[in-house]
Formats: sequence, structure tokens, C-alpha cells
Amino acid sequence: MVSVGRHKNIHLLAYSEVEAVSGYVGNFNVRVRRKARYIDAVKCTGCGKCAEVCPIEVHNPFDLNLSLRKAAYRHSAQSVPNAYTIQKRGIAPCRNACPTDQRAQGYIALVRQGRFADAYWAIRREHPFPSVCGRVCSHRCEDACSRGKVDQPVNIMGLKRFVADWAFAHRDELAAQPDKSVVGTPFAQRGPSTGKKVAIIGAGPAGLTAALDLVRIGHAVTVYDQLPVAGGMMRVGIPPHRLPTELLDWEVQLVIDEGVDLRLNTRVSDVPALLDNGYQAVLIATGAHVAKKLPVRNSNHPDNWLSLDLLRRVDLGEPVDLRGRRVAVLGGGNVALDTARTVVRLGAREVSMLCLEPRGEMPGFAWEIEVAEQEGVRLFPGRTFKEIVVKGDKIRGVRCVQIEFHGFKHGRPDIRELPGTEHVLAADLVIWAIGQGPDFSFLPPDGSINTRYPVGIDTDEDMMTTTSGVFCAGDVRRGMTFFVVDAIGEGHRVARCIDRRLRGEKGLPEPQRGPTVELTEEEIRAKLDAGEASRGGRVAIESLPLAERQMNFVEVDLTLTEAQARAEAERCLRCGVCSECLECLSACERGAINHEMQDETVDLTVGTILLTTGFQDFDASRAPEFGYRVLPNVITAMEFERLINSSGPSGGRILLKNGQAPKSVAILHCVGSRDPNYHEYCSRACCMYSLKTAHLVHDYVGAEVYEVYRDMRCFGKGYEEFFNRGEAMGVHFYHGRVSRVEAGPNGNLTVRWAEGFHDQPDQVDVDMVILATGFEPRADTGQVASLFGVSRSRDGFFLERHPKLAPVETASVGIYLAGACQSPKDIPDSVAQAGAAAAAALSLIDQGEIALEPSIAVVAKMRCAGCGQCVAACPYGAIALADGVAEVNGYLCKGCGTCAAACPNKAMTLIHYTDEQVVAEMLGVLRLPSQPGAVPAAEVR
Amino acid sequence: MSIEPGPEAFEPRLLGFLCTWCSYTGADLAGTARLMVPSNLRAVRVPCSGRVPPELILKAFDNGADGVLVLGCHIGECHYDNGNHRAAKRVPTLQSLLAFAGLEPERLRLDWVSASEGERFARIVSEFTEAVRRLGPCHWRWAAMQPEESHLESAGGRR
Repeated sequence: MVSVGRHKNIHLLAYSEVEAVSGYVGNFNVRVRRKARYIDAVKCTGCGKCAEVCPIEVHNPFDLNLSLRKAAYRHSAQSVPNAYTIQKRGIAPCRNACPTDQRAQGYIALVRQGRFADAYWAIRREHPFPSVCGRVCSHRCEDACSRGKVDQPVNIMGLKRFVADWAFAHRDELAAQPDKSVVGTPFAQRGPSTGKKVAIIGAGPAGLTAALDLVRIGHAVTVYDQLPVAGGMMRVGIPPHRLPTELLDWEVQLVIDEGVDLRLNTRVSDVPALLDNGYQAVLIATGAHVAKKLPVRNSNHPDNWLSLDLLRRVDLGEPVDLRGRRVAVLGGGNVALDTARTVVRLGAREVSMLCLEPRGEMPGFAWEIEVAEQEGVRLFPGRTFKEIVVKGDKIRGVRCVQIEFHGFKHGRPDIRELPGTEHVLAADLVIWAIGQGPDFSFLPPDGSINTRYPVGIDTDEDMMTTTSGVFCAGDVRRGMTFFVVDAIGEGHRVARCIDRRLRGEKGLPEPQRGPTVELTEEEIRAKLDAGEASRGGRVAIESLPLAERQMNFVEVDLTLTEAQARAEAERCLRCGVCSECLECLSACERGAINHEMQDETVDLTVGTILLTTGFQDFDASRAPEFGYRVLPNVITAMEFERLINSSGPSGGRILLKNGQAPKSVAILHCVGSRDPNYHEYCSRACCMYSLKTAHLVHDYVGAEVYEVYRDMRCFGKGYEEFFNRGEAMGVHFYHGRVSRVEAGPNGNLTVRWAEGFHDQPDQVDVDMVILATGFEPRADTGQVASLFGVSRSRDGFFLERHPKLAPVETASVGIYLAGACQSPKDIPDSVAQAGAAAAAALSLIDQGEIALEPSIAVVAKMRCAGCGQCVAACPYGAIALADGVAEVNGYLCKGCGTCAAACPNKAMTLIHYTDEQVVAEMLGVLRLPSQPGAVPAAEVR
Repeated sequence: MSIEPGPEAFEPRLLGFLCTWCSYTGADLAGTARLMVPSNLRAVRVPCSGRVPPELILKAFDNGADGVLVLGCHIGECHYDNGNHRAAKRVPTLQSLLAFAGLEPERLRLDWVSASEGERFARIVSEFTEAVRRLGPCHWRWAAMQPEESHLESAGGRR
């Protein structure tokens, strides 16, 4: 193998598949797809550090799934090339669903192993504010989670929060560690400066995310915010009972600490001036902080508050006293729920929520609607508000009418008021939470930074506004609100757009992605059966008891414990196999790993093709009489080979399921071979390998060996002598055809057979049974055969042209066969056959020309009507229409004549088998007399 | 309908189209294995059963064949990939047209014999010979009958 790998004339395309073959001998065009290894095989030294840190373990097919290996693996200790590969099936659906491109499978895999610090760095690679999204996100990742197809999705949001909270608790430790979040990104920390300056207006999720990325590229970034705190809506819009402020403040500080110049309490009112004052780019990320009201009567009474104003006051620590008040919150979304639950905690006597939508269609999270009700919020869905009722100088209530709600059409609600349902809901304070929008008052009055319907700032596909150099991201761009996670995603994207503007061609490109993995239900169940993920149900988040939530803003939802988090992480199915945690990237000292590699297509033009695709083992579980996978200690010979190998799964020791060494072993011949129920043919090599197995068991295991055989096929050089040595060694040979392997008397096994010699037993009790499984064609042999245009014989192996006259050729000139893919055989015969095939191929190369059978099809062009029947009839694609008539490629034509029979005009004929020739022959034989001596009858017509 | 057996039993004249790679080789094997095969079958070798155009089968009936046997490789084993699929479509179609034209469809048979099936070849030819014998001479060739053949007429008349 090494000499093959090193030979200068041999190009080894490993991890590759042939996708298409066309052409003919001398000029075959072969299209090969080289699968991405994600590791450069030339740079890789095979050190294995990537495998050490990889968190994903899968069954190792090289050890016949008897051992585990990592997703970053080397095929075997002696593989050529001796480089590692990363088994990655594609992008996990959770990553595909996340607007920030978060590699969720990565941190989940690390949590599963208890590597919480590594999980934190993995999260932070894409997401600077995990404490927020771990609590308030719409978690599209969970909606896309494959686990959701069979039971409940993995609690990805809960795991993110767990890691964020753990990181906060261990922040001093983390500060002393190297920051691995830049590994695998185009960023560096405190790298060389680019000399460019960027101004960002708004220190919210979009603005700060962009700031972090830009600073990590090397630009100088200043962030302005009119509030006294940074964090935007995350900081002043989410009430503390949902997100404790100190966690967010720490995460924000980490961003600032990487070199962002933060100017709080600063409102920017002249955006274009920034460009004149040394900034090469400006980003507007001011969010949507203006809550809306409806212009109903008395909506301008001072006891009409805006939801966002109240939340901001509470988040900035202002004590607000609402004791004794009766509060009506107008709105049915998450902000209304946040407001209502906040008002409860501020001591209000009564809190009601009124909204247009019926209960089942309220835009707020369903779980939070239930919690709000448990906390005492009264719900009045399906109502429209007509008037704020004022008497004297105080609000008395809200006059509303019940409605039929038919959704929003073109931004306006489609409702029908129900007559006779008008009522006044008593309240003395009304808080509006019906929606919010951006504040555009700081934009230049001349409209040079244009806005557009539905009222966001107008940008092109590079996120630039109508003023060159001014960019926009987040809620202010969209005109309405979406989630924090979307804003972070926009922050990343606008940072790339700004970088491309500042550095031109050196700027960050948009990332490319491969296809997303989609697991079928069957695959999911197979993974669960194989133990790749735990079968447990989704862990439930516990909450503070209601009694402990009174009048305080202590966080309500508790975080997972370490044990719960690890148990939940075990539910992940590892859809992509490689989880993209990028730990391998940190570990590789040669820089050989590249997770952005794509599959490559290579087109080769070759003169000859040799098929040496081998065989597969007969699956002994198809033959229940042998007890494989049913009874313990029944193994196949191939499994024995791996077990006895000192680099195999058991280090060379053969042990029973109970951990002890077997004292007696039976080796059974002809499993799956010579049996009309499975394969009628003899697999040729098993008798000899069974004898070898007997020797190995005798020498290394020291057990008594019983070999049950139907015949001893020792046909080769030294083979019969090897059998005799086995007999001399003390192996017990019993002639018989195994009928059953069953459970034995002492927890061991009993083998029974028929057709035994009269002076021998017909059963034996043993500790272990080894099955000599036969060969069968590989499962994809049919596809490979049609790909290359070769036929198969009845048993499914590739068909040679003639068993004696052309054993390595196929019917297709230029395509040869060698080895077990043609029929079962052992190594010496495979090598000999390979030499024959190579010689045959070489002789073609040597001659430089080939002689073809003369019996090919020809077209009488004058008679051809161009109907194309022949083109369709040809199994070899040898006919094409050219200038409206058929044309036969003499190299491809094999002379079957099907086209000639199909031609309606008799324009096509086959040389040496023309219609005239066949008719002449036919008439000749028909004229022969039936009995000798009689005169032939019937004239020719 | 069949004719009464006369003093000389009717020996059907059978034409066989045998494909080179499977059925012809199988027939060869029947020969070398010394199997008993009725001599009524006159074989014409073609590269593939797909080479046999339906009109040549009709010509065979026109020119003295009482029965035509088309033998090819088993489905899935055609040496030329799918020529026998073509034969499998053409011959049954022709059989239904024969009935329409007034000839017994049993006079045409399509079957599969592989290169190792000498015994099968012998059996099929024997069966077919007996089947056509029971059917009697093909009346399409009566019109071109020579006087020497008139003994068949006297033996029991036309069909």
C-alpha cells in the first residue's frame, strides 16, 4: 500500500466516488467526486491531536462497529494516505435555522462531555450575548431540530443559557484562558490596525455585534448610544425577572474590552458629519424604541404610558410604585407580556391584558401567556379598544368591544365588531404595548438617508443606505421588531459589508455553505437503537414557586443543573456527525484543518478502466439458525479477525460476554454459502480462513477447537498441508451441515448438525462460535454495473466476457475486472487476476490501437427518416442523430442488432447479420426435408 | 383444430432464432452432452434475440415454418444489456396479431435459455415440437404447396 501511495505515476484519489462514465476505450471520460475531508491530507502529519479533542464518538466501521472512533479520525493505523479525515455529513439543521449561523451542535457536544469552558468559546464564536438568547429567543433551532420528528426537540436554548450562566459564574477562570472564540473565524484579537475608523450609532445587539467583528478585523470602532447603559433593547427592554442585568452587563463589557470606544449618554444628531470627521463608515443601529399608541379618544391623557418607557425605567433601576393601581396593558405580544408581568411585580392591585387577537393567535409565547395568568394577569383577548374613558382628571377604564378577528391584511387588522358586547374595563393606568417603531428624528432633514415602507431605513443588498458610507442594521432597518438573534445576525452581516467597503478585495466575503442534513424518521430511530443518543424525554425547566415571585424581580426560570444539562445534551442526534465545535482547529498545529472545504469534481480522461471493487461479508443475521446477534458469544470470522488483532478493539484478547476467556470454540463452515436460501455458490476462501482461525484460536486463545465442515476445499499450494497441520495440532474436525446453534446447558452454546460421519457426534457444546461467513457482491454492485455499463452474472458479481477465453475482460472493450468483485476468491488468486487485468490493459496501451468486432450496425442514410427508434433501442448509446439521420459510433457499437430490428424503414442493418443474410439462412434451413429423402416443399415467396 | 393423424405422422418444420451468447451456446451444450433433442428445430444464429424483427418471423411462416421459436438470454442477463427486453415486447405483440390474422398464436414461442442450460433447451424444443405437431401444418403454406405435399391433404383435409 505504501508503494502505491508513493509511486509517482499513481494518483491516489482517496475518499472519492465515480459519478459518471462516458466515452469508449481509449477515451473514457470519468467524472469523480472527491469528498471533502476537511483536512489537507498533504499537511496532515497524522499526529491525532484533532481526534483527541473531538467530542463526537461514532461506531468504527473498520472494527466492524466493535469499537468507537471520533468524527475526526484516521481510517486505520496503516491507512494510505496516513492522514486524518473529518466525517461531516453536512450542516446540522439547528445551524441552518439560526440567523447568527450558530454551530449549536458544537456546543451541545461539548456540554455532553462536561467541557463547559470549551462550549462557551464555541458559542461565543458566533454569538456575543448567549445569556440573552439563552432566555428570550424564538429558538428556530429547536423548531428545526431532528429530534422533534420523533419526540421533543433538544432544549438548545436551555443549554445555551446553562453555558452562559456557567461562564458568568466562572468568569475569572475564563479570563485567564486563551480566547478560542476567534479560532475558525477570519478574526484576530488585538491584531494590526487597518487604519480605518467606523462609527456605530446604537449599542444594541446589532451595533455591538458589528462592533466586535470590526474591532477583531483591526478597524477602530466608536459606538455612540444616547442611553446611560449599553445593550440596547436587551438591556432596557427585557425586564429583570427574565434576564438578570449583571449577566448582560458582563457580556457587553467583554465586547468593549476588546477595544471598542464606547460613548454613552451621547445622542448623534448629525450623521453625515461623522463621515466628514474621520470616520470612513457609519452604521445606524438605533433599534425600534418608540412604542406606539392608537389615536383613540383620551389616549394622550398622562396616565397613558408606553410599555417601553416603563420597562426602561425598571431596567435602569428606577423604583416605580404601582401599588393599588388598576392597570390595563393594551397588546398581546411579548412586550405586552413583559410589561404585564413587570406591573404585577410593581404592586398593582389588578393587571389586565387586552388585545385584538383571540387567545390562540396572540403573538406572545404561549408558555409565557400561561405563566402570566398564573402570576395574576387577567387576559381579555379578542377585543378592540374604542376609547380611554376619563372622568374628571383620572382614567376610569378602557371602553372595548369584542370582535371577530380575521388577521392583519396589508398591515391593518381585519375585524368585525360583535354587536351588544361593548363594555368598559375598569383601570386607572393604561400602558400601550401594541407595537413599536424606530425613531428617525436624528436623520438629516433633507431625506438623504431615505426611509421606506414599512417604515424602516432604505438599504441596498449590501446594507448601505442612500448615503454612501452609511450602513444600517437591525430593527431600525426593518422598520419593525424581530428577535435579538436576528439583530445579531444582521450585525455580523453588516460588519462584512462595511469591511468590504473599507478594504475592497481584502474584505470579508459572504460565507459559503454546504447542504443541510435532513434525517428521516427511520434514520433517527436507527441512531436511537444504536445508542448514539439517549432516549430520555426533554428536560423541563423549573421555575421559582409563585409565592417567591411577589414584588421582586428575581429571575423566574431556573437554569439547568450540570447533570440536567449533560442529560439533555445526550439527546442530541448529531445530525451532521462532526459537530463543528472547531476544537480540532485549535488543536491542529499544522493548520491542516479547513471546515469550509467543499466536495470537488474532477474529470479524468483515461484509456482503460479496471474494476476492483471487492466484496462484502454475508450478513449472518439473515440466517437465524446460527443465532448471530441473538445468542451471546456468536461472532463472525471477520469480527474475530479484529478482536485477535493487537491493534483492534480488544487489544488482541478474545473474551466472552462475561469477561472470561473461552475454553472451547466451534468454527462453522458455509454460513450463507452453498445454500439455496442465501447464496448457491461456494465462497472459496472460507475453508482456508477457517483453518487459519483454528490455528489462531489454538495458539493465542488456548481453547479446544471444533471445526464443523461440509467439505475441506484446500485447493491451493500448501493448502492441504496446512489442513493436515491443523489435524496434527489437535483441532477436532467434524463433518456436518450445521442445522442449529442454540443456547447450551451451562449458559454456553450447543451446535447441532446433520450429515455427520457415522462414527462422529452430531453436536457439541462450546463457549464461543465463530461463523465462516461467505462472500457476496457489494450492495451497490447494481449501480456500479450500470455506471460502467458492465453486466452481472446471476449471483450478482460482475460478469466476465468468457470464463476461459476472457476471464478478466468484460463485454465492454477497455473495462476489466479483477479480484472478488468478479467472483469470490482469496488473495493469491486476486493478485494473479489483477496481474492479468493489468497485462491486458497494458497490451492495449502498447498496441496503441484496438481491433473491434466487424459486426457493427450501419445506416443507409438515404432510407433513414430520423425517427430515432434506433437511438432509443441502443443499450450502449452508440447511435445519435446527426443532420437528421442516424449515425452509429463504431467504437461503442457491440453488434447486438436491436437497432436493426427496431428500424421501421429497414435503413439500419447489422454487418454479417443483414436481413438478407438471415432470410437466406432461414430459407435454406426451412427447405431441408423433414424426413431424409423427401423433396423439399414450398417455393420461396 | 388439428388434423387426424395419417399413416405418416406429421413432422413439424420449426425455425429457431437463437441468440449467440446464451441460447445458441446452451443448444451447443445440449449437443455435447448428448441429450435427445428432436431434429425438427432448424436453428438460425443471431447476435441477440433483440435482432429478430417481427417481419422475419412472418416470413418464416410464409416459407414453410410450422412454428417459430425465439430463444434469448434470461431477463437481466442479456449479453447486450436489454436486447431481450425488446424481444419480450415484440414477440407477444406479434402473437396477438397472429391471432388477429388467423394463425394460432401457439405457433410462436419466446423463451429464455442460458449458456449452461442444455437440458432446458432440450426440454423446450421437445415441448414445442409436440405442441406444433398437435396443431398440424401451418395453413399459410398450403397455398404454395407442391403436389408432393398433397398426401397431407388427403389425410384429413384442411383446417
